[in-house]
Amino acid sequence: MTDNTEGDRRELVIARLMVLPSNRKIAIGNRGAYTPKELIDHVRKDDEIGKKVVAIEIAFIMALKEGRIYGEVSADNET
Amino acid sequence: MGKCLLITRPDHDDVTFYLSKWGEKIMDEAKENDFKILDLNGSKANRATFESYNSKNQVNFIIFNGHGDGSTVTGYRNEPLVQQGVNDTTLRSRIVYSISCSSASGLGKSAVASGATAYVGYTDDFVFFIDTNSSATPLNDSMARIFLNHSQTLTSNLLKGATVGHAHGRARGELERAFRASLTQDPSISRYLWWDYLNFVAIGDIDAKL
Repeated sequence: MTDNTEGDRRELVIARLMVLPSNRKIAIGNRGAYTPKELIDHVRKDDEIGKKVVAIEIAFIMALKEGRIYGEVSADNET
Repeated sequence: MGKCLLITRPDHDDVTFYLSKWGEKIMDEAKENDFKILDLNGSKANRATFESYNSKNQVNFIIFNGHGDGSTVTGYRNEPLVQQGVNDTTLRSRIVYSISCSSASGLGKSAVASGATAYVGYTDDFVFFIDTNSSATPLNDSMARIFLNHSQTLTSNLLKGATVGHAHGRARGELERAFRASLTQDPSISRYLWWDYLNFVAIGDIDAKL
């Protein structure tokens, strides 16, 4: 995996975190609950918590890609 | 003979405080179903007290609230309560539900191999949201409720006599419904609900009942 790909993934996650309301905290891992801003810092540092947040996003994206969430959509337009 | 629930409720940080309060709802339902309740709340959620209560009572159902990792569930101030390969045999003949990160990935499997009836938990970090406007009254936190409702569904079904498999299936269905609703209502939380849904497992005898 290239640095660009990892960097892109971090930027995607940061973009998602930036739209979270500031009155929300996310309890993740063994170290407590974090504000969106705190999680953005962790993602930028690429530390254990940051990697976990990225992993969560990637799991969701993969599930979308594999059709596990919305299912296969038929493109059959034949009449 | 009446059934017995042992529940750990440390409350030393935001996360454990929330789980501790939500644990009160579980205890209320256990009382309604005539369970004897051994409540290890706050600083009582330590290893010595856990092992003492667990060994001196005919405990049927153990609920661990707190932190953990693949091989450990912890109590007050993150003291290890049960560790894979150390004292996981203390879970023998119990149905266990661990609301803690990752313990089903290692400890859960070793506990079942060592004689635990069943172990329901998470194979990776359990994630939930907190609305800071409600943080002093966790039971009124509608954001946390979205993530924690499934745990209530699991325990409620078990306390009423459902099999582990049935209770886990109902709870997993609750998580899935919350996830699907979030896709249109609040997509920012969807990925976290999906994560919890992926990692929520039941190991051991899924036909067992309390």
